[in-house]
Amino acid sequence: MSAPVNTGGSKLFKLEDWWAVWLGLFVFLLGLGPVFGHDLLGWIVKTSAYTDISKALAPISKAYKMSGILSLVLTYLFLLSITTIGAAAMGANVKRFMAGFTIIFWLTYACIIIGEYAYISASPDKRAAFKIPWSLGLGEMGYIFAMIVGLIIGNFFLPLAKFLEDAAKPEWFIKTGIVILGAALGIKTIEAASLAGTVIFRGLCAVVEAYLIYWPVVYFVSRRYFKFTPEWSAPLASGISICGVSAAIATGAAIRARPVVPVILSAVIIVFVAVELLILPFLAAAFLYTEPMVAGAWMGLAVKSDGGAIASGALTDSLIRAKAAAVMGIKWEKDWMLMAATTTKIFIDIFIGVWAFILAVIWSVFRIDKRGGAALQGQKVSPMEIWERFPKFIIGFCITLLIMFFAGLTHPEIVKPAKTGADQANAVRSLFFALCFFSIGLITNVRKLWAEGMGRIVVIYAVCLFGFILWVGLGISWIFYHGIMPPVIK
Amino acid sequence: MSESIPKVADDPTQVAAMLDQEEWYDLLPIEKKLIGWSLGIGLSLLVVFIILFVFIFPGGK
Repeated sequence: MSAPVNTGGSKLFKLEDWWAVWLGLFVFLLGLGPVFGHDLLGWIVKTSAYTDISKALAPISKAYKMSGILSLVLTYLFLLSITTIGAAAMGANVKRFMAGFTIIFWLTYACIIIGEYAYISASPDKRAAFKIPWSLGLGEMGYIFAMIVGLIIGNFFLPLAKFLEDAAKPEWFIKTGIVILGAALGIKTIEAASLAGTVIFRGLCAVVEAYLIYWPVVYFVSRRYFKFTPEWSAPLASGISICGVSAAIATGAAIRARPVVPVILSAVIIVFVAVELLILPFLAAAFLYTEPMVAGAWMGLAVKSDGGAIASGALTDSLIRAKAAAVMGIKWEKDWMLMAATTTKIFIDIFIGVWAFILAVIWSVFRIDKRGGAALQGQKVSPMEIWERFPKFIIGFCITLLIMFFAGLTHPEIVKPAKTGADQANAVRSLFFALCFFSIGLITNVRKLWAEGMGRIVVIYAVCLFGFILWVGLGISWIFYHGIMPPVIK
Repeated sequence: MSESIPKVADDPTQVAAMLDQEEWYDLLPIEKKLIGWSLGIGLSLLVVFIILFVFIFPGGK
């Protein structure tokens, strides 16, 4: 995926991060409609579990009397319009983006519809309603189907993958989704303030732990046993242990590594994110369904990209709720595991700016890298770098969360309509998440790993991730979240 | 983070050449210090958090 083209002008309208804020806030504002007596997003399509496909689609609000197909087409046109405006502002080829987005949207939506087939999605307690004797109870499997289709195209239909590349923006899609998610979490926070506070505070503590333990161990292993130089080891340690591609880029820039270093590392990171996304949520559902918040936080700490982590959190949320209902007869409220994954990931994102600044100072002052150190000597490291590296979409997330929280707290009468609006906005959020899944699959080119010289990077990544980080992350998640349960639906 | 995913090098075969050119040297004292301090603070905090969250406030109570 290409980095935003810098064609001058304000960064507010050139960076993906800022466009995630603008689009997320726009959807959030539309979602506020019910608070003021207007249903502005009720026409957004909602896909329900079905055995008769004609009943799969419908507008999310009953106030809109239209067919599900029309609702879907309107939803497509809405998403196409707002993303195209953003893509155009960021310097994308508009026609190519629109064509690519159209293909991605319809393929993704086809996967969502397949995933909602009752035999695949229905939890055991809903089988009677559908008059079916069995079901897999896998919840929102459409996400995984979307990712698999993306993987197939990205690895076997290269000309098509190349064509779709401009519109496959997993980080942009997921960040927009996170900004929208803030509203729903704000409402949840009102309903269970103590639990939300616990999740947020422990998320912060867990992230501090992850940084301080993951990074030095991976750096040490990389330097001592895999014989990488500091120029490779620092971005590698950040990429493997903290936040994937973005952390590798931030660290690479902070220590003035050659730009190609994080780019090469990103090829490996992206593939491992896809692998984690396909495995970890199912592992969590199998073994952690009695500790749902541990599972959610684990996704945030273990999966190494914003898109991958939040997407894994959403999938884990769906799988574990279905399993808990089937095995224990407990129906947990939706999105609390996703909240644990999101807060953990957001704190990780916030801290990477601080961590990159610390590394920049150390590399500059102590000239750790003989080649890079010489290049850095005499250069001043500005605290502004923290702001430069700050993930701006988090501002949007905090705005939507805090507005909802304080508005609901000071005006309790708006909580019910605000919840309706937040649910409608959340339907748009789910679509951005699904588009993210497809895009992650599409950009994951497994063959790049076989290139000469990549072996050492792949091996250290696999050794550190599967031998250490996943299990330390699980331990940290357990310490901070075990015994904490989402609210039960009464 | 604020960066988008970069395009992977079209010719990743350059990786081997790049890595071969690198001259490896053992950990410098400042690197050892960075690793030691980071890990030391991390493990100390872990002990504090375990006492706090496992024994004093278990299960978010």
